[in-house]
Amino acid sequence: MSNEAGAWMKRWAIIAAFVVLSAPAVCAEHYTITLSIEAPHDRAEAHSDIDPPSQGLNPRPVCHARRGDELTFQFILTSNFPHGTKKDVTIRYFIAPQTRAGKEASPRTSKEAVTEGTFVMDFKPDGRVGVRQRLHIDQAGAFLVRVQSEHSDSDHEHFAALDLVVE
Amino acid sequence: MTTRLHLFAAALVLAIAVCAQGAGFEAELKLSEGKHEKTIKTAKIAVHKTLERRAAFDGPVGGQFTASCKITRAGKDEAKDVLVHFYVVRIDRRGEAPPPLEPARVVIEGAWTMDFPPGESSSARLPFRIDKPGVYLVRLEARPNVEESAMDAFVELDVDVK
Repeated sequence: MSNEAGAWMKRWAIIAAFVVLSAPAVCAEHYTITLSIEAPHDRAEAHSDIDPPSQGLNPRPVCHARRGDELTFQFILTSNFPHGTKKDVTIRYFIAPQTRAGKEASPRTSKEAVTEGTFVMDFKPDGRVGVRQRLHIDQAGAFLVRVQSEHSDSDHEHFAALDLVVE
Repeated sequence: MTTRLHLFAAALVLAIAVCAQGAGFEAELKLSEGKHEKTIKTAKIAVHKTLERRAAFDGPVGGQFTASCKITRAGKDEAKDVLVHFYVVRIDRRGEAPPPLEPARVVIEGAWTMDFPPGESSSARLPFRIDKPGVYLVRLEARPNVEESAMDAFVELDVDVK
């Protein structure tokens, strides 16, 4: 292989590596999410992650609470997509039991969810949606707290998730 | 604690607090608890008009309520930067005017912003549980961020939790 061909290949290898490594950062630009849950003696906050993989790339923060504690669930999701309006996007949020903290990416069944809500809306650049809810959980166990985009006309979706452990 | 969500909703609401000539949206709010269900539709209620008697709904303490709401643009032009705002707040008596949204009284609050071209709609499904007996106001409102109107459409009902 000539020196020129070697240099050419090296240049393309660097470009390819840059593209692969920067892909998650490009994906992360569509939505910013801040999700939090607050218990009397603990609080956890999570931010945007990417699906796939369904469990995302970041470890989930954990919030500890006791049965019957008043909990405050909140999220704010903002579109960062600068190239026009994303139509009919579904934003789904839920708190649902899981086998153990850090395990599932989605609830076992919707019927088991402590709460599960949806929005169907258009996202213009800087469009946003948020919920704040006070609630109690009367059963001990590990719960997944998650907000996610669906049908956002993309090859990936965005979400934020954290674990809630009720003792 | 004043949350960022409250600030976000309050800032948008306060920025457009002037008189109204509502005409541009239709709002629909359905509330259900178990097999009990009530749907309210309305539109074009001006802010200075005397409020009509609110619809009423009953439910048990600890009941799992679900609010399903839909806002549709009925006007012939596009409404920009509309804030859609939904909340459930505890009030002292039936028919009481919407109170300030103190976090301790608010069961659930949701808000979203978007542009509404003619015919465009947006919907939400928001479950909540009420653990204390009392009267609660459930309200859905759409507020365009222009001079057009400050309270273009809203629906509300009183919920007796016993």
